[in-house]
Amino acid sequence: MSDLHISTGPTEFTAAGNGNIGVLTVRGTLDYTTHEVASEFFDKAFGQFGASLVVDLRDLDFLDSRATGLLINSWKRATDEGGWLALVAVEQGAARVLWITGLAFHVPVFSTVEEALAAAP
Amino acid sequence: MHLMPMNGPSADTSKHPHEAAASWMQALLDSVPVQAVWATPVSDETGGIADFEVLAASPQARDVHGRSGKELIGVRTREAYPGVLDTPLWQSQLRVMKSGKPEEVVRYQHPDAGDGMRHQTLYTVRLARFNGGLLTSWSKSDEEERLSSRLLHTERLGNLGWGRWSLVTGETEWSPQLYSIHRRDPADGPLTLEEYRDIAHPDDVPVVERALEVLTVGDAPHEFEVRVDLDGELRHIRATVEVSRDATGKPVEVHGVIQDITDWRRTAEELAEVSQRLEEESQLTARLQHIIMPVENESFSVPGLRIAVRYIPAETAPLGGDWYQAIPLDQEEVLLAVGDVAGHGLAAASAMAKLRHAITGLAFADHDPAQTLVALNRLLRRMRPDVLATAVVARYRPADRMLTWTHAGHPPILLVRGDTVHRLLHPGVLLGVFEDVSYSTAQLRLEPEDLLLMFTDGLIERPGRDLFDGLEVLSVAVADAVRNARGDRLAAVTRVLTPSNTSDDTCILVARVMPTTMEVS
Repeated sequence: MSDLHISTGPTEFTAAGNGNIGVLTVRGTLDYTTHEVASEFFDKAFGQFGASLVVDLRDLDFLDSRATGLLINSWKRATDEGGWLALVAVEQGAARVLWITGLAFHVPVFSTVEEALAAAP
Repeated sequence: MHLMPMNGPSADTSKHPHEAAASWMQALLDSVPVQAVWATPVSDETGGIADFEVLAASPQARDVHGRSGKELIGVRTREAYPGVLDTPLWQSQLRVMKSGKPEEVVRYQHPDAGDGMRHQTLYTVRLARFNGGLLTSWSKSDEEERLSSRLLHTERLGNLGWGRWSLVTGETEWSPQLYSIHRRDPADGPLTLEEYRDIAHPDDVPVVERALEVLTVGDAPHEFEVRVDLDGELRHIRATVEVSRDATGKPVEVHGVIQDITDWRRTAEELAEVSQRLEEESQLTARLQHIIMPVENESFSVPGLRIAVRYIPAETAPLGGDWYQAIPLDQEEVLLAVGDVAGHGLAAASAMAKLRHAITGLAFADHDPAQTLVALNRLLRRMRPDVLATAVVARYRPADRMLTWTHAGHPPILLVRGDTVHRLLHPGVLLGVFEDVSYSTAQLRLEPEDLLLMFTDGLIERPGRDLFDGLEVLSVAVADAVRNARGDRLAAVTRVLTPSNTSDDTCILVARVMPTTMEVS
């Protein structure tokens, strides 16, 4: 029941509702080349699913500083709108950026979507 | 394209009576460089002309279907070109056969029955009754027209014209565009070569003199550019002229092409101005960057350390958000810091300047790196909530070679000890995101000849590559450089540090620990 799907070159954005939580999946690369379409994707996701989102980054192989900013802004927006945003990432790839930037200590990060959904308030 | 004998015999007997005529007509047509056929009429039952059949054709004759020369023999007009019946050409053919008076059909456009498309080509067709048949010759009437109109177009588009000056008779010929270039009424005739002296700008008269002189001695085309005064307006013209000589080598004629290049010149000058302005802007940006953050090319000393720094702007933006600081503080301590404000351009650069000055001020106020970052985060949240930044901040005390450091979302410091590269990991969250954050510091005692390497992510980040893989690649390169270094380790390491991501700016600081003579412990 994927009802939001954007694909640009090697990067793919999909989203599906799970209860009242939107589960967003980003595969490929998040950097300045995909920044615009990524921003648009998050905007649409907020519009469609509300402010409670799980963002699955397990198949993300690159995340630059600007895209990190986008994730942070989305997390802030979710919090400001009374919602909740969790990231799903594993040891490799995006998780290392989240760790090095210290975000992993402030934004909830889970290793599976199920764990993230189970932890939703 | 056809003809026929006047006393038109019936269709099946027509060839024989004309065989002899056809043979010598063919011999005639073979010898003339025109497109022509000789055809005899084919009669209908009432004795009227039903059609024409070609009995002789010139080698150059070519019809609209691409048949040429002898392939045309036997071709019947109405059969082969049914569309012709509705044209003035058919009427003209019948008239000529009847009256014997030659006619010319101009701008004849053949209607093609085959594909229903009209042929674009226009023909001039001449018809004459000859030897009992119809001699038809034709040429593409627009070929010459097209050539000449193409030439005129070229002259007009290129704003150029050609001229010819006879040195024997004094006769001069100009193409129409030359008159237009010289703002001259064709009725007044062309200018002589000598008259160019009078219209040339005084400064350019020597150019004209030289051209006239060169023409009398050389054979090669001579090219020159002069400014000429035409109706009070100065125009730039470029001329390429050449002289022809007779068998004895005497110059007989000068011919050449003259082009008005005023607009081109003006554009070139404007372009040069724009380039210069851009160059000035780029220099200004570089100066601005230098004012905000001076980067020394040479390494320099602070207490206990020798420092080398490099700043490499992004390929697309001379002004970026990466910065460094290396400055002696009170109590014989040194502040070392490298930071990164996300983005490029003035917005990033101004945030960078704020952070850099604030961090320096806070270090002078004797804050430790953790307190410094807490304050910086608050400052950023108040002053620039739009900005994300990362930084690594360290204080070094040469007395006991103690390094105290912390990170705010920044790649770790690399420590090179001997030929081994270590990561000084001590993560903290990046600046400008969270309202209340705290940082803690780590400490490490350095050894003489240790190298510290602080940098921004442009050095290790590359699309498709994990940040830690980038760190690993860098560590290997640094270890190699140190292993192969003869003498100056600082220079050896600095040399191998090349940004991996040219779309981002990169700032690098390398510090070498100097042996101290006044160690405390």
